[in-house]
Amino acid sequence: MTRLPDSDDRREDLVRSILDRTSGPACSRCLEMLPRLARDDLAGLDRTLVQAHLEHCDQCRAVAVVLGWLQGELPAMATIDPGEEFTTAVLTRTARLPSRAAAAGRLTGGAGLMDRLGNWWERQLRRPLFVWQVAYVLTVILVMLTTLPGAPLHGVPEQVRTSVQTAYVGVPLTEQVMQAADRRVKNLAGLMIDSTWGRLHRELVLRRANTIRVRGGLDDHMSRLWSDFHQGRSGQAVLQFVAIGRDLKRLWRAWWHPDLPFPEQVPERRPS
Amino acid sequence: MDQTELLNRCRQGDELAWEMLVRQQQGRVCAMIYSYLGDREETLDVAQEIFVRLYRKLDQCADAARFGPWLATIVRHACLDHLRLRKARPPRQDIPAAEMTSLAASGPTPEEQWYRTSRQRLVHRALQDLSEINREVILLKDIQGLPLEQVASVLEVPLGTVKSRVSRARIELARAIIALGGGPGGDGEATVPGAAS
Repeated sequence: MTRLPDSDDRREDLVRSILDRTSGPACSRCLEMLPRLARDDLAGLDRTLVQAHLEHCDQCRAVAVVLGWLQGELPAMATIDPGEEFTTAVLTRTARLPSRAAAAGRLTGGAGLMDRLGNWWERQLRRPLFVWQVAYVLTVILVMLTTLPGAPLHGVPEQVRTSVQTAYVGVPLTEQVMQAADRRVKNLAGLMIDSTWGRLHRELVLRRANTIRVRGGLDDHMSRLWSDFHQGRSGQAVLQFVAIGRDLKRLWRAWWHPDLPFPEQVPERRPS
Repeated sequence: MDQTELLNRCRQGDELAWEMLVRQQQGRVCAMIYSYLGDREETLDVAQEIFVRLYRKLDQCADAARFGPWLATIVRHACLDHLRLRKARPPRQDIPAAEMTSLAASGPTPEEQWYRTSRQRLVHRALQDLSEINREVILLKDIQGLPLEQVASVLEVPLGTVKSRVSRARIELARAIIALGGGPGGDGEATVPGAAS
């Protein structure tokens, strides 16, 4: 059994159908004015019309109710209490930053300068572009060092390219490096015989002597690797590569632990 | 204490003044960040970063009257940067959906405990459903109480845009709250404002 609509419902339906056929529903106009009603900033005929609409429109009335209590709740959400731990953490972190004291003139002279430099550096590190900018500057410097006439590394890329394109000439690489380092240390040691440089020179000579056999083997394996690589013998090249790894291990051991038995004296395990 | 004097003392390196400024602003800063991020731990981390930044940049704010919007701008930029980073990185951990239900607590989450009333928690959840501009307008105008000019300055939009947005944003928020069940039949009381008069 269906219930017949009462007279209020019928009247409401009639109003809606008239509005639908004429101006359309008045909800949007009402919603425009609701915030002013919530702030109690609506007077006169507008207020009367809006209140009359609210009596008959459940949706607008719900919005009006929520707007009413939002007036009180929203300002109450302006702060939250993060707790005492947060305050302590912030004060601890900012206590490590001396920039305020420096700016106020408490840190002067060298200390102030170092502080400002430190702050500047820290700011730079935080910038996302910093890494790219450093890479760019380094590239420019490298290009200038290698291409400009009279630059210290002028012609080096060409030499590297030539040596890569031609075959490995079998120069004992480690020995060259050792000799260059030795010459520099010897020069410095000549100026300060009994100083740290002198002791360093003696130490270098001792260690060079201790590693001469391992370095000879390393140079030999590198030479063979290069030659195998150029002749397309990949299997042999891999074996040489493994041997180089073993040489480097021995070199490390002989360099840093000269008092241990020489690596060649340790019997190698052979497959049975 | 006068805000101008407090800021001056902070600029001179007075630790006590700085402590007072931190205590004075931390609630406001955290509330703003939480409105953007909606995560307690991230809010505290970002808030710390902002205070460190504030400590370094205090000299840039010469006018004490502009301190509020200036700080709001710093907070807003930090939050937007953080949201961009959050989008770019994968979620912190993968939890199977089946386990999620067992992990869910029945009471209010620690985040929700930041808000004192259930209505405030409801408003916070509804704010997350608003469009970005409307959420920011509500946050700066209605929650933080900044004048319209300062809201426009912080959001870097024309004043007219903010004016036209304010009412629409409130209506959108009210509708979001109703959609979450906070209307007259739910959490809210069924009193129409101004009905008595």
